Amino acid sequence: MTQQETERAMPTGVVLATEPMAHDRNRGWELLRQVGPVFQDDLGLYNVTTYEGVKFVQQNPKLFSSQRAFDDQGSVQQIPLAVDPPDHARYRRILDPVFAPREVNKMDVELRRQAAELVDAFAHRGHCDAMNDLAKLFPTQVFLTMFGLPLDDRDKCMEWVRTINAERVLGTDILSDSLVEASNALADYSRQFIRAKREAPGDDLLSRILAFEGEDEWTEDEMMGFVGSFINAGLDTVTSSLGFVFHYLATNPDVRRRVIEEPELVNPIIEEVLRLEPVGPRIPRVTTQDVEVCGYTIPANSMVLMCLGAANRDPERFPNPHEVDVEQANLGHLTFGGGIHRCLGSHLARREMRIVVEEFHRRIPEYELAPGAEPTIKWPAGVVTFETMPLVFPVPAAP
Amino acid sequence: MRVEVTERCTGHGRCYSEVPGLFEDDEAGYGVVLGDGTFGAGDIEAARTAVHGCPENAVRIVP
Repeated sequence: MTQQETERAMPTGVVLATEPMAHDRNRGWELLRQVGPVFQDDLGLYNVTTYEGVKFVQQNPKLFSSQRAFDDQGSVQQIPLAVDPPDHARYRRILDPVFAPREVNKMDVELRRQAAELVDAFAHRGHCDAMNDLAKLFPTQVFLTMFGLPLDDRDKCMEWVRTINAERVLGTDILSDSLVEASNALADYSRQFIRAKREAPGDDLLSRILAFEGEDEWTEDEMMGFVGSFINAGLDTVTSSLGFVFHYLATNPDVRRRVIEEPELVNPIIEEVLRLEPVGPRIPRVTTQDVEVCGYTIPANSMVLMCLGAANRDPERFPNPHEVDVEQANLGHLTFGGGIHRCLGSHLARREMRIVVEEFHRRIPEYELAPGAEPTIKWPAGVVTFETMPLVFPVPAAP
Repeated sequence: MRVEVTERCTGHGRCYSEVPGLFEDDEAGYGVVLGDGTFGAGDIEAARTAVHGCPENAVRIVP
């Protein structure tokens, strides 16, 4: 860090305005990036906006506690997200193999069948809502499938998660009645199926973890924490990311046609949309001591937010920061986090997205936003997402 | 020359996804080199792609 940077005053009181973020994340994040590498928002929270700054936070879990950042989110500790070293490693040692690509491969056929079924339900109609008819349904089905639970539970699970995510306010401990009610209902549901699986194990992820014995055996609270973490981090996130991918493809017909002709472009396009549209756009940590980030001192016990949408557009890292550019997709992004808390479900999430896009395109290669539709996000929010995305497309001729 | 994956790896999987000719995934989804990681002159660009693409700076080229 240069002397000059060290002496620069940190911007404070920065307001996270709804516009232009709701309509235009390029402009929204660029405005925040230009405020500075580190700034304090109007709630007094510290925001980090550069690629190297965010990586520094991700890679130093002893300076930036995840445990303390997620303390306020209910009584059950989220596992492994809200666990600091050294306990964290014990959980990841067990969970990493469960979420590895080799395990995801085994589910590919079944997940493809489910995605195809969802698309088939509207393919003949000539229109759909990409969020409500597909992107919201599929990740919850994946969760139920992995945990060996009936797909009939899908809609009630979705509703609990929707309420919890919609009403949580980042950086505060405000809990509305409906949030508490939904949290309790989800917790009761989870506790019941954990007990049922312990009694009668099946061929599923949950039974596999419950089968560990000795020092690797998990308590019921630990299982609850893991289920909570999966639901919190693994459902709405994939839903939202799918929304951003379909929005991009619906509004860029030339790219979409190229993707259909060159299917190997699906993955780099997904990576680039993940870079530009991180669905958990500001990931929190709490400092354990005074710490210097990009030349600015952040005091101990402060909440720090990693601004992924800004860091993922850092021109120091990305030659074409504001556009989907398959040529730079191999540079990666920070959307799945990094360091010891690298998103446990990243391999699964990527596969879910690929499966849905491929199965959709197989049936509906030509589509566009319905006339007048202009999907927007709420901002600021813990998880940003389109709530609705009406698409129209030609109906295939009857066979 | 050869590539190696250091203990900084946290299992992003970028190396084996982007450069499957030099890396593969282990049972936990972490990156490991194929064979002893030795590569020929024709693979230098691929090796560099893996180095630059690793979010943890865990991939390196060693003489």
